[in-house]
Amino acid sequence: MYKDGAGAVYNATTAQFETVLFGEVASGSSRVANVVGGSTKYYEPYNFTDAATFAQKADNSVAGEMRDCGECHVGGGAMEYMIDDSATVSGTYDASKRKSLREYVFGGAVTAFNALIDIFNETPANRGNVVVQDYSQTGVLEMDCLICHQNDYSWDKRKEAVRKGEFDASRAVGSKLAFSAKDGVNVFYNSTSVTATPAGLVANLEYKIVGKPTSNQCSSCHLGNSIETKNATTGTVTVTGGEKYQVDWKKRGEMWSQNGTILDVHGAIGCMGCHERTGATAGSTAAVGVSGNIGDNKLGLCDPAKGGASPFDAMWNKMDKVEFKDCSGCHEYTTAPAFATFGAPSSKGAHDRAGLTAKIAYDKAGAQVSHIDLIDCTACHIRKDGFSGGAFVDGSGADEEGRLAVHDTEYVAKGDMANGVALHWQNGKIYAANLLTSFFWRDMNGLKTANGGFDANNDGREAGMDPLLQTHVANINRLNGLHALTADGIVNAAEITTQQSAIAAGIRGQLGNGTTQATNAFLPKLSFLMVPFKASHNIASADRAWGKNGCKECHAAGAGFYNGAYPINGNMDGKFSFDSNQVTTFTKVNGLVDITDSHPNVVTKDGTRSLPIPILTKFDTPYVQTATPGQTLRNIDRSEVLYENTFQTVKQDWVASIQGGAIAAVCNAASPFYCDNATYIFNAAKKGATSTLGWTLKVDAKDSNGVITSRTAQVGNDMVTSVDQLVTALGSIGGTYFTVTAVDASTGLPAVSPAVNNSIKLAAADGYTIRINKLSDVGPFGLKGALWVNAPIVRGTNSYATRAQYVTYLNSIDAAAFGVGQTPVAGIAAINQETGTTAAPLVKDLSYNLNATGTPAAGAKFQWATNAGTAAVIADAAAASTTINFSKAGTYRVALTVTNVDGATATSYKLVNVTNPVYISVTAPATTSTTTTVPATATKPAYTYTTVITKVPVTLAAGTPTFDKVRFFWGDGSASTTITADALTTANAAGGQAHQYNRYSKYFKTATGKYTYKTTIQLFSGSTLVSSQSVVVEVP
Amino acid sequence: MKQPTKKTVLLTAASCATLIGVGAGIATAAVSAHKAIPLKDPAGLAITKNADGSAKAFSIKTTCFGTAGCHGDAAAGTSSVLKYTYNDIEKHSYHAQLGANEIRGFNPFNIDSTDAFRTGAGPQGKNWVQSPGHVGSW
Repeated sequence: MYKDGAGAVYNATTAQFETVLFGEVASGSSRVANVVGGSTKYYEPYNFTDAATFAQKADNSVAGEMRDCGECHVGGGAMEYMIDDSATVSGTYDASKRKSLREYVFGGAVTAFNALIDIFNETPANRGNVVVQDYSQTGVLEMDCLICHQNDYSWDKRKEAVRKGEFDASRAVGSKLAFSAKDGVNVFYNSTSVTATPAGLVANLEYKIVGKPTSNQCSSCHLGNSIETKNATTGTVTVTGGEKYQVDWKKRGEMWSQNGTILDVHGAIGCMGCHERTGATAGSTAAVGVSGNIGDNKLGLCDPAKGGASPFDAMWNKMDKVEFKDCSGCHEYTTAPAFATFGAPSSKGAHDRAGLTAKIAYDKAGAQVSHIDLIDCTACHIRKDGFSGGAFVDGSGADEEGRLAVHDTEYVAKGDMANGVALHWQNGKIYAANLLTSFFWRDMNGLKTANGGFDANNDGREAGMDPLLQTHVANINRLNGLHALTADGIVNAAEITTQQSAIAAGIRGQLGNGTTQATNAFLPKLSFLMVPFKASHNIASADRAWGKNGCKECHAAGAGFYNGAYPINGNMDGKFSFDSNQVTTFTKVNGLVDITDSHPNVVTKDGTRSLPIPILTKFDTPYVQTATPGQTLRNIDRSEVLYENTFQTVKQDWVASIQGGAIAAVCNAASPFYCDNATYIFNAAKKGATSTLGWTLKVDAKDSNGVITSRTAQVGNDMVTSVDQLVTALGSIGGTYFTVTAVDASTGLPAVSPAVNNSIKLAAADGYTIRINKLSDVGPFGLKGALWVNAPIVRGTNSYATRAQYVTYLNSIDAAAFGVGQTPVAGIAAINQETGTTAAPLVKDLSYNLNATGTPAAGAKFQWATNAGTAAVIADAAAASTTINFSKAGTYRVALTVTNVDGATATSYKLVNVTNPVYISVTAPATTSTTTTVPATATKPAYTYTTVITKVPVTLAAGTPTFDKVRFFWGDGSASTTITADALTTANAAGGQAHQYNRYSKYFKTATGKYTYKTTIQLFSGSTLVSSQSVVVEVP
Repeated sequence: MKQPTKKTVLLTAASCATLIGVGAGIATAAVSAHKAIPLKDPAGLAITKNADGSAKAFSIKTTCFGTAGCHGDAAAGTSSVLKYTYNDIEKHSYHAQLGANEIRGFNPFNIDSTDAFRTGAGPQGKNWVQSPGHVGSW
C-alpha cells in the first residue's frame, strides 16, 4: 500500500532487525528518510507506475475492497479517505491528517488506493482488467449511516452498485430513495420518497430511521441468511439476500435463523440485546471516542459492543470486550447492572448442580478452577443445527460472481453444522469454533532468484512458499476454461494436475516474464490452512447445553465435545483426493520443528506452543520420487485442536553453554540443508524446495546485573550444505555476548577428521548466561532440545505425557469420583469419648479433637462452627479433623457442615458441656480413732471416749495455679481451717490435713455405714481464689 | 442556488429534534422524524434534477450532518448526541476504519519488534497482512 514503512533492515552491530517506520525506506542495512522533493514524505502511496505492472504485482487493493468488501462495510475509513501525505509530518497515524479520495490528487500514479483488478466485470472476458478509479466519477464510499439505521435498507441494491464502482450512487439506491444509478455519482430518485421542491430534492424517510439497529439491519451483513420474514398467518417465509452456504467466519455473526425461525435462544432480544453497550449511553461524552486513536480504549459513538477477541479476527481487536455485556452480565451478575438484562434467568443454580462451579478443573497455570472458569459459556451452549456452514475456502479459483475464492457453495460447506463445532484455546480458555480450511496454490522454490529461485507473487521477497496472487490464478483459469477445483463437487488428482499444468504454463505471463521469472523453476503445490474461527452465536436453550445430561455427555470416548471425529472435509468427504506430490504442508511451527496445516495462532492451553495439526494424509518432500495416489484430508479428532501429540513447554533457563543436537547431513530426507543432487531429489528443479534462506536464530544473553540483550541473525545463504557453512551464515550474531561454533555432536568439540562437524554449540562469554529466545527458529539449527522440553500433565498422582493418554484420562473421569451429584454426609465422631447420649464433658482451656466421620464425597468442603462465640477457638474450621478449645465453662453446640462440590450441604450437631478444670483431689483419707480412758474421780466413775481424727490428703494436679494459702470448709458445721501452702505440704507429708469431723447423725449414711461430708478446699493466692473444689470425705 | 423555504427549515428542525431521541437509543421508529430531509450533494449543495431526470446522489456527510439542529451541530450541547460530527463518528468507528488507522506497512514482520503484531504469526511472510484490521489484511 505504501512505499515507506515497509519491512525491516538488519543492524549487524546490534544483531537486531529494525522496523522501517513510515517516513523511512530501506537502503541496504539502513533505514533512511523517504525524501521526496527535498522533504520527508510519510505514507506515500506505492506507485505501481502502470496498469500492467499493477496486474503483475497486486491482487486485491483498497480500491478493490471498495467494490468487493464494500457490499457490507459501511464505508468511511480507507474507503473514503487517504492519509494526506502532503500534510503528514510524522510516521504516527493522525486521523486529522487525511484527505478525501475525492480531493486526493493521484496524478498518473497507479496505487492500491485508486487501482483495482476488475474481478466483477459483467463480461467475464473482461475480468482481470485493471481499472484505475476516478473518484470524481465513481464517488466514494462515505460511511453510510443508513445501512444500520434504515429499517428497509437494501443490501442487494448497495452491492449491485459497489460492484460497478457506483459509490456515491450506492447510498441512494441502498436507501431505496433512488430507483437506480445513472453512473457513479448520479441516480434516478424515487418520486414517491423524494420530492422536488424549489429548494431542491427533499427525501422522506419517515418511520424508517431507527436509533438502535434492528436485527434485520445487522443480519443483512453479519448473518448468513440475510433477512428472513415469516408470515405469522401463513407461515410463508420470504428470504431476501443472503447466502445459504455462507461461511461462519465471513462476518462473524454466523447464521442464526433457518426458514424464518431464529435458532438462537436470544432471538427475541435481537442483536442489540447483547451488543448494546454496558456503559454510558451513546449520548454521554465520557465513554465516546472521537480521536481515531485505538489507544484510548473507547468505542465510537455508533460502535456496538463487540464480543470476545480472536487472534483470527480482522476487526478492531482493541475494542473487543469494551463495554460488552457478556453472558454473565445478564445471567450471573452479583449486583444488578444498570443495563438491560431482559429478565435473564440466573444460570448459577444449574451450573452448581451440574458441578460446573466446583473447582475440579485446572487453569493454564495448573491452579484448580471450575469448568465455568475454564470454558467459555458459548462452548457448551452453542448448538448449530438446522443449517449449513463453511468447511472450505477454495482459493483455487474464482466463484461464479467473480470473487477470488469460493466461500459459499454447497460443496465447500458442512451440510450439518450441528457436527461442525470444535473447541480451541484462547489465553487458556476454551471457546467454540468452526474449523475452516482454506486451500490455495503456492510455489515451493525458495532460492534467491539469482540462484534459480522464483518470486511467484512478485512481492520482491526471496524465500519460499509464496502463495500465488489470486487474481493470477483466476486469470489463468479463465484463459484455460478452468474453474475452482470444488466447482463440480469433486476434487481429484487429474483435475489438480490439469490446473497445475495450466498455472505452470501461465504464471510467467501473469508475472511479467522478467528474466528470472522466465527461466527459473516454478514448483506449484496446493497448500491447506485450517483456522478455528470462534463461534459465538446460535446459543441453544439450557436444556440442550452440553453437559445437561451429566458429565458423561462430554467425558466419554467420541462424545463430540473435546473429542470425536471432526468433519474437516464437510460435504466433500470422500470426494476430495490428490496425489501426495500435489500438496505440501502449510508450514512448520514451534521454531520450524513441527509440521502443521493449522494456523500458528492455534496454541496450547498455556499458549507457549503452536498446536501442530497436520491434516494431509500424506505429502511428499523433495526426497520422494514416486507420488502416492489417493490421499485426502484427515477428519481430525477434536482433541487435536486442544492438545498436542506429546506435551511440551518452553525451556527458558539460563545456562553457560548450549549444545545442539546432531543435524542430518545434506541430501537426506531428514536434513534441512540445501540439496541439488539429483540422485536424491530425482528432479533438479526440486532443489528450490530445499532452500536454507531465512532461518532465524535469536539468542538472549543476560549479564550479572540481570540485563538481557537479544541477538538475532538470519541465514542469508540459500544454499547452506553443512554446519560449518551454517555457522558462517550466522555471522557475528554472538558479538561479545556468546560464541557460536561448529562441533561434533558426540564430543561437543570441533570434529577431528574423518568426523565432520554436525552440531552447533553456543557458549556464553564470561559474565553472561544465555538461552534460546522463544521466537527463534530451532529446528534447522538442531536446537529443538534447547528450547522445548517435555511437560507431562500431572493430575493427582498420575502423569500424562501424550494427548492419547490424557484424553483417555478425560474420557474416564467419573462424576462421582469428583463428588458431583453425591449426597453430602456430615458426621461428627465422639468428642472426648462421649457416648452420644449426653453432652460431651469437656474442660475449659483444654483442646479436644473434632473429627468428621464417614467418607465424604471427593472435593467436599468442611466447616466447623460453634455457638460459643469468642469463648471457643477452632484450630482449622475448614479441616476434616481439627481441635477445639473453650475458654469459658458452659454448654455449647458444635456443628459440622459438609458442602459437596456441586453445592449440596449437610449439617450435624453435638452438645458439649464445658466445666472448669479440677486441680484439687482427695484420695483415701485416713481415719484414726483414739480411745481415751478417764480415770474415776471422787465424783465420777472412770469412763472412756473416742476421738476420731481424719487426715485429708490433698493432691494437686499439674497446672494447678500458684497459691499461698489453703482453706478447708469441712462441711460438718465446724469452722473452716486456713493453712499456708507450706503447711499443706507438711500436712500432706504426714498423711493429710487432720480434722475431727463432727459426727452428727445427719451426716451418717446408713447405706454406707459411714459419715459423709462435702468438704470444699480452696486455694488462694493472696486474697484471690485461684481454684476451688468440693470433695466427698467419708469417715467410718 | 435556491434557498430553503421557511417551511422546509421548520420541517428540518422538527426532524432533527426527534433525532435526539433516536440517537439516545429509542428503539422504535421515529414518528415524523426524517420526513422531509433536504438532500445535499458531497459539496453540501442542494440537489436538483438534471434534464434527463437524474440527479446527484446525496451525501450522508452533508445531508445528515452540519445543519443547525441536525447531526454534527456544535451548539447541540455537551450531553447531546447531535454534537458529534460525521468525522467524530467515522474516524473512531471500527465498522468504518476496519484497520485503516492501524496500518503497519508492507511486510511488517520483525522478530525483534516490541509490537506483538509484527512478531506474531499473522504477518510472517504474507504480504496481505499489513494491519490487524481488514484494510491491509483482507
